[in-house]
Amino acid sequence: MADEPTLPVLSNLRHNNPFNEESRKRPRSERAPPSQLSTSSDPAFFSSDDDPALDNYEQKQGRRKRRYVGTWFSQQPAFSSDSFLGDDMISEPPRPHSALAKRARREFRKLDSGIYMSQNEDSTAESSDNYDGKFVPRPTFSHTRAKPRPIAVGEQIARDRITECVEDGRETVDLSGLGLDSISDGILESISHIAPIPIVDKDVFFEQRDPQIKLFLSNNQLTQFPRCLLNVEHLTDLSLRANNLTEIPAGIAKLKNLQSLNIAQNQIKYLPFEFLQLFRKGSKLRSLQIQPNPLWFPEEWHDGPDEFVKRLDQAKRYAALAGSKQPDTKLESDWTGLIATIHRRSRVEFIDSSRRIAGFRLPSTDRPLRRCEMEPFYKLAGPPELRKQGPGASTVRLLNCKGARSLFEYALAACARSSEADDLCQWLETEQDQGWPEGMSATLQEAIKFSRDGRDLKCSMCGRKAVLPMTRWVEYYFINPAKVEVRSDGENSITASERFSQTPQPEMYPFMRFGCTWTCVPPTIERVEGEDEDEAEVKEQEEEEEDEDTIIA
Amino acid sequence: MANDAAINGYSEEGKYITLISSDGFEYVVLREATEISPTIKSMLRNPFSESRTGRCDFPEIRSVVLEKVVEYFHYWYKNRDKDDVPDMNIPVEICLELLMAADYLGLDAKPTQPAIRD
Repeated sequence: MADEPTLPVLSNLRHNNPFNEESRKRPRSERAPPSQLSTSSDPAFFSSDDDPALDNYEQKQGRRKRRYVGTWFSQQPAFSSDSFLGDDMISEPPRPHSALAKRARREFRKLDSGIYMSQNEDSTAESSDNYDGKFVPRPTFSHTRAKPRPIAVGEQIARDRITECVEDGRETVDLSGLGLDSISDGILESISHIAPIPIVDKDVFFEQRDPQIKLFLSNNQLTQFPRCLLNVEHLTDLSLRANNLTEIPAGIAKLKNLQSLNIAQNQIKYLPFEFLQLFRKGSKLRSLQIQPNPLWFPEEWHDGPDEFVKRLDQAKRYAALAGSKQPDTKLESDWTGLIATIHRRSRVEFIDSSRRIAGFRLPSTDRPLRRCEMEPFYKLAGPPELRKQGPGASTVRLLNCKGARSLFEYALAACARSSEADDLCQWLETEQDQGWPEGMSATLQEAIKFSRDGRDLKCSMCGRKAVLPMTRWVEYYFINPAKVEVRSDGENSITASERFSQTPQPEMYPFMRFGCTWTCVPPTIERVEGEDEDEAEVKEQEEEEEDEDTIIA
Repeated sequence: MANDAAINGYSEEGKYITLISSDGFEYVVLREATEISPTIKSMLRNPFSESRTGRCDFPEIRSVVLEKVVEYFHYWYKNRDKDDVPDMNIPVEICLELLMAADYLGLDAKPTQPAIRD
């Protein structure tokens, strides 16, 4: 038993020892904690509290709860004098000198605030570094945005004029001849705020009418149709004469209140098919100035009078099949305006998903050649023979417009919609040789262009949404003034204008149509007897022409 | 499950195949649904090892992207004959990689039904 090791002595038994004087507990003073009654604004709770003698119970220097100030990692006992307990604490040590405290604070650096502020760039970069992918390059965008370009003098004047018009309620905005090569959406958008000031006078009926905004942007150097104009609902007059526009966006069909449009003296090659919605019964467009413009013109321009009539008949049947599906509006009162009638159609251009054009191609926008090859209405446009290109060739047929769209299209649409679409495009161009398929940036650029056109690209044959057109063709329309009289029996009768009947071959305008698959091609009309000869003639003519061409070549 | 089938060797006509992403995630997909991709189709037809095991390895495609591709396969399969197809939602973050994957898998053209195609 003697060898038994002795247990170590318990060092601290003080808390067990009731007699130990060095208790860790704070000595309890005999006095009660100070009552807070004196400072409380609450009414007395108990009836006995009303007794004024109770005030005597309040004692100074009572036992109080310890109080601290500061953050959890640098706390110090509160020596404040602003305690609600009154001025009794003033006798405590005073606060450190204020200047000293200020300097101390400046030097203090928090090591960890305890809150993790995640930064997006960092976290994504970290997570993407975790995988060892080999080939997928990732765009690294510079986070320094380009400086906002300085506002040109012309733009400044334009802004001032628009603000003036908005303030005065004037509806005519004249921005012509300012030398603008582009105008920012922010400046031009504000013209939609123009509201006419109603006439307030004796004997005048108070009326708040819709504004009729007239915008003149002629004699500038605009290269793009200002897209924000497409959202100005009450635009009635628009002049873009003598600019450098190359295209009219399809969204122009949204400008239902447009009465007069002037797009002469630009670089426009064709008009969008959707534009035709403004040339229908009941629409408000009355004045249209398109020429001069380098529009594509159809070959075989000169028809004999007989052929012309025959073709008109065919065109009517074609229009019944292929025209826009919108219902004809019944008119309540007489109407005069512009009406478009189809006359010819070009051959169909087939484009595959990598934006290669197989077979026939329409005149390109950057080549000077503007002659467009025509095709009779009864001819079915078929896709050209495809080159076999390995295992993928079978799906390049694009023949079924039922079912889902391709994943490529969906991804392309997502890219084009994103806010960084332009950066993506630039990046694709610079990284062309890093394993990215050829022409991807051009494809994306086209998709961006269509997605910004102010509409969803809809197939003009099947009406489905599309990202990129797969077929394109041009239809030629006459646009002529027409008059509709409402007869007593409710029937509408259209009388073409005199100009139309006098000149057998008025001007035709090309309208570009799109299809979403290779089956979305112009419909064919049935042949009527007697047309076969015509066709034979045409064929002969074509052959002759071809012969001529070959001879020339 | 389909994995076992693949290993056991009767995958040649098995109903499902397995797609493996670069970071090792495996997705089991209906074989018929993947047939719209000519790349996968030829992988499974020709005498490659994929045709025996029914497992296709894609060391270039991340799992996030491959998941979307797989979602598309089923989405396409479900909507094969429908006229009104709801749009598939694609997050912008992966759209570029998805574009590339779609190009690689030959999903760039509007797919046609296998029955019509051949």
